[in-house]
Amino acid sequence: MAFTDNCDVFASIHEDGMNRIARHIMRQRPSWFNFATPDVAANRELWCSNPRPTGDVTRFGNPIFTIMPYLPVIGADSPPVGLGFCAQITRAQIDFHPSSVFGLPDELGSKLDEQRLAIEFQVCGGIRCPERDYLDKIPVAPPPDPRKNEGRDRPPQVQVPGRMNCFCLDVFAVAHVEREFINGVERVVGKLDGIEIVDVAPEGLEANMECYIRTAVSLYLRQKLAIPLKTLFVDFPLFGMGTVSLAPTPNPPVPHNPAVEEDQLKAFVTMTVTP
Amino acid sequence: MSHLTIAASEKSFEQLFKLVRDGFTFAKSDGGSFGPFSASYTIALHLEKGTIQLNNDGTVQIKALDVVWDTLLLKVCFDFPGFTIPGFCIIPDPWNGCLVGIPDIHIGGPICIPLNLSELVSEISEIRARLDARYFVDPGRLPAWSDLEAEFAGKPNKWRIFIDPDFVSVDPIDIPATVGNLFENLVEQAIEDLLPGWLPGFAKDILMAFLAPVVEIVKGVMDIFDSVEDFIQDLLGNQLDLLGIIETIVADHFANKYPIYQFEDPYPILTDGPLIPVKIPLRNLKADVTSQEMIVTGDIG
Repeated sequence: MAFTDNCDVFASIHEDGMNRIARHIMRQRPSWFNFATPDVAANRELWCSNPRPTGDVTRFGNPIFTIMPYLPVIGADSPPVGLGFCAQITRAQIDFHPSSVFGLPDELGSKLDEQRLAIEFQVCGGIRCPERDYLDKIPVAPPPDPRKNEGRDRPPQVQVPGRMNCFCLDVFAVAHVEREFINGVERVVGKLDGIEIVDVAPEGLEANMECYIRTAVSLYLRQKLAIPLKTLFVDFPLFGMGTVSLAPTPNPPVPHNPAVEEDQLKAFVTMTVTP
Repeated sequence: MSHLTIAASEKSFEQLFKLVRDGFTFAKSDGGSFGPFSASYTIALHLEKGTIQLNNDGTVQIKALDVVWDTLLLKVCFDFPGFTIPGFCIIPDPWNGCLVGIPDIHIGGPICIPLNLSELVSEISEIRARLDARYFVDPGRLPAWSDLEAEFAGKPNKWRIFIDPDFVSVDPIDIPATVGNLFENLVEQAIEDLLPGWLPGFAKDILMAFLAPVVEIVKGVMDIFDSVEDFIQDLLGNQLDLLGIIETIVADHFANKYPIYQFEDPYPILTDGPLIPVKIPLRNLKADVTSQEMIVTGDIG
């Protein structure tokens, strides 16, 4: 069977290639995978994991961390106190149907369903834990008016130092892919179907953490990793040619486009030639 | 299994071929000496039409590819052998010789016949080729540059896939019969132009009537033993070697000048925003055809 039996242009990428691409992205865009407050980002000793950016990242002044606001300490408002923290994705890999790269936890069905892909990644993070002595030295200011959320009289946030308590979570997700127009460009977007954090208890905490990670990953896939459809075809010359228009092949004859099958992500395009 | 596969149906391959075909133009002026005469040419041409067939043995066949001669100017020059036309009397004087006569006229010297054959169409009957994926390193790239610096300088490395011909078969340039008549008329005109300008028209007509056989002499000088069309066809195609030139430049165009598919390496995949683009290295690129499609495969480095 030919690749183009039901289309004019076909592209596929194997999961082994996709995992290499993931590693390239992590090294060339480290700030998409490493998040920290300014104090942590500036101090390598506080990192939970040591990213390996390419030389170009620093040569061109790209950041290793996305800078985040300090974690506010609940109840402390005179002055408000913030804690430094970091969250780092240290490993990520993808498995296209059928399951072959890694196993799935039982909660996600052990094996991938048709047209599904699995993502396995590790998140490491930690919060700076201040010494009690240091907290005792923070002068207490007059309490602010709680009816005003912001005000010039509100005392500035105090960021407290402390040692980092790092931990790591293994996260599994199952997703499928869809085509979606984002900012006028047709893109291939991953859509989460389920997520599971390994070995977190109690259940309520796990559910809340999973909700947070599901929300973050869903937005991340849509905002950061939605690849234009034509990128899959690696600058194929007919894209952009005036007399030829290329559009995703409809169903029928192609039931899933893009398709996740045979350990690959596949895309099918049909060509129309204008005389 | 390869990490990356891109396939194009025969129909879309044909569109790719059209891009390569339409990218071809060629112009040249040259000439040569061929014993009793010399010839020079000015040409400009492009390609049109052509059919594509992909084969399971990995070959691409292109047939009936038109060579359109936008400009085809041929000039043939030779030395017309000098001789004297004896003078003769037009109005005799019954008492003493001649009242009005034509003196001895010596003609001869260089003659050039310009032929404008522009808009002729000839044919490349067949090109048989294979796809060839090659890695291109821009010669202007500095050794110390990273891939990103090379991209910012507009000199990135590239993968290029060419239609690399095994052979190009060019048909002879078919010269229409009207060109033979045109050539003979131009020869006559050139000889007439050798006559002195002061001769009245009627005298020229009389002289040209005498000189008509000279056209055959001219043909003899230039070794035109058969038809003028065959002579011009041989002159253009073989002696001036336009067939060889077309064969070479068309093969070079397809094999080296105009890739059917090319892209940067490393290939940029995330380019939006202020951060440096994410570039993915591609390795082991291969290109092949079956009877149904072109298949390009490669690995992520």
